[in-house]
Amino acid sequence: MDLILDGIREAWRLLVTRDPELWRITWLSLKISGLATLISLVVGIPVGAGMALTRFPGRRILITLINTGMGLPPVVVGLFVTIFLWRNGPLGDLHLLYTPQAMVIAQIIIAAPIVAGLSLAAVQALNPKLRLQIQALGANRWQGLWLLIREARLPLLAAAMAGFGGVISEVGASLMVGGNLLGETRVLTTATVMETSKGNFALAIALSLILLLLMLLVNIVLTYIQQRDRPR
Amino acid sequence: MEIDEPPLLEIKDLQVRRGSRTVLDVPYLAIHKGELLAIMGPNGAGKSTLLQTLALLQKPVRGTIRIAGIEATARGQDLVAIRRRMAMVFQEPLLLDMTVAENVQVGLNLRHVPTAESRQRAKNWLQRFGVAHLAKVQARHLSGGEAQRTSLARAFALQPEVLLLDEPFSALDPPTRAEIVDSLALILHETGQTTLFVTHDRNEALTLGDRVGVMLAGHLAQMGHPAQVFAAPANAAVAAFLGIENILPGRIQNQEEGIAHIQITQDRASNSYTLSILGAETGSGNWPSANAGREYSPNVLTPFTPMIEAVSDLPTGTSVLVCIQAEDITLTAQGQSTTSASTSSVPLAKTPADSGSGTEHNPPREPLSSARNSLSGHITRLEIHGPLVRVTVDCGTPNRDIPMRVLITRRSMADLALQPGQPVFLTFKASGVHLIPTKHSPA
Repeated sequence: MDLILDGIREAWRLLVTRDPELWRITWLSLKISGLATLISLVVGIPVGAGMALTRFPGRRILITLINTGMGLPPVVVGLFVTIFLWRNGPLGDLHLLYTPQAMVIAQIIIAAPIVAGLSLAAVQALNPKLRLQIQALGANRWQGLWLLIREARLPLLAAAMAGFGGVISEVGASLMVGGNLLGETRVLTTATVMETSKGNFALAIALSLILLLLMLLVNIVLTYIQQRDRPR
Repeated sequence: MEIDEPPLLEIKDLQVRRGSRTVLDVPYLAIHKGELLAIMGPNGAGKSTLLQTLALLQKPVRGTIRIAGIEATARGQDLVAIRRRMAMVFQEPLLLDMTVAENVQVGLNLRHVPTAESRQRAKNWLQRFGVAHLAKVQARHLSGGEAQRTSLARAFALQPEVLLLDEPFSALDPPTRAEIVDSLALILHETGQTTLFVTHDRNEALTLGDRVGVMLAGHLAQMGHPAQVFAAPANAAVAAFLGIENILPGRIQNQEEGIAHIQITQDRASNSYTLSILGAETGSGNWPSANAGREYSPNVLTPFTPMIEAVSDLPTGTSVLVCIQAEDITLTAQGQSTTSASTSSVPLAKTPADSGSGTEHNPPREPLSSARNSLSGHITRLEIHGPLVRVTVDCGTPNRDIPMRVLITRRSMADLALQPGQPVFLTFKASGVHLIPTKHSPA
């Protein structure tokens, strides 16, 4: 118990003293995972919504793959991204390994299927006649897609929350493609792993609490938006 | 209708399939500018498919659709551009998750109508449908009636060349429905909006349609002016759908000067034929399956089966279905003094002309009337439907029931002190009887 209390005390101290290293780590976590989530939304929502609305051969297989992708183990993603970005790998010339960019790429691969899968479910859950009505109102393909996505915006926010939650908390891929370099690629999760392995439990607990706090703040904002105009 | 003008909407040889099943087969249908065509039919008859095909939301396997001179079914047509000339209202309001006013403006925004104009139009149409005060309310907070009014306003705001209405009232409770039907009828009348309206409700079709069509099993079974369709259904299935409550099989015994004398022949075969039609087609009507489930004593033609006179040119020997609307029959109490019957509220034209001389049975004290048909029977059932009473009268013989249904007012029931078992006369005019030929049989 002392350990945890020490951790809380340490977290409080770091927060109050505005420890510059802690702020840098937190800010980088937020930047990398936020950007990865944003790009996943831009890619995943149209893909998911589009797949909910179209029929083509192989659609079922693709949906199965997306659903499987929703549970993609971060270490596996980390492994393959590392292989691709390795000095002699196919994308080795980009020299992205052990950079924040590499971490963003890995996190997009983790979050995009989550967003796409949940978007597909959200749009599919809309009344199918609504689509006919929107077409009958004179919408072209893109106007129709936009109106339907707009209609599903509340469940789509859940997709955003799930995507962000998935990447801000993952450690395997970030560690493998980022390398936990101080001041460059160290984020909250990788720092927590490192401090724990060094036996600095108090600091590890402090980092964890800050991570939890961060997730709480982000979800408070998203939940507020989601519940603000929920049907009664 | 303006026959010189080409129709605004024209269908030729249209066929729609679902899987291998043909769900719609319409050789020809035209709607002229300003016309309101109401197509009625039971659920599953293909009405919605017809509308969705016209709205270019479903592809026909065959046939052409012309809208305002444009062949919409031609290859490479810009379907979105053609859809934007029409508007459709579905059974459910299908409003989007935004405010009422925004919902009405959505279609206009899709057409890039300037905001000021779109706002003005939305305001105007919300007002006409009586929901202007709800403009800023989120659509999901509306009641069913308010939502459907909004949906109608949204369609009218588009100022469509053709308005397609797919049972827009069927999900509403009766009072709300009646109110909205009234609002819509008024607005349609004022605007002269070209409209195709489909419904399973005969009364709505009658209220709204300049012309009505009856759709059964994917086919247009009959088209015409409402009165004409109701007075002269083209076949037994149409008659059954229209809710003509008295459909009796019979055969024309003789024919003179346009008056046919029909012997009611209720044998087992024709009986079951009638029942199957009624069971299949009137299942969802307001007067549910009038004759269905009714037990007839089978067979046996007795010399006392009633004869009915009808205005018809059909030749002797024709097997027919005799259709008599319940509201066309007058009921007179029997067994009381003639004066008490005549002082009752039953309107009987008393003329010195002979009454019912054509009928073979001749019960005593038959009421004097110009109506050519008079049947005697006794009341078996009285059902109260709001202000009306539906009386079932058995006009058969001890061997066989011939149940006839008559609609009277509650007042009449009270004045005549009607009760089950009471003997009564049923009178109706020869011109109120419609005959549908079924098959020829040797005289």
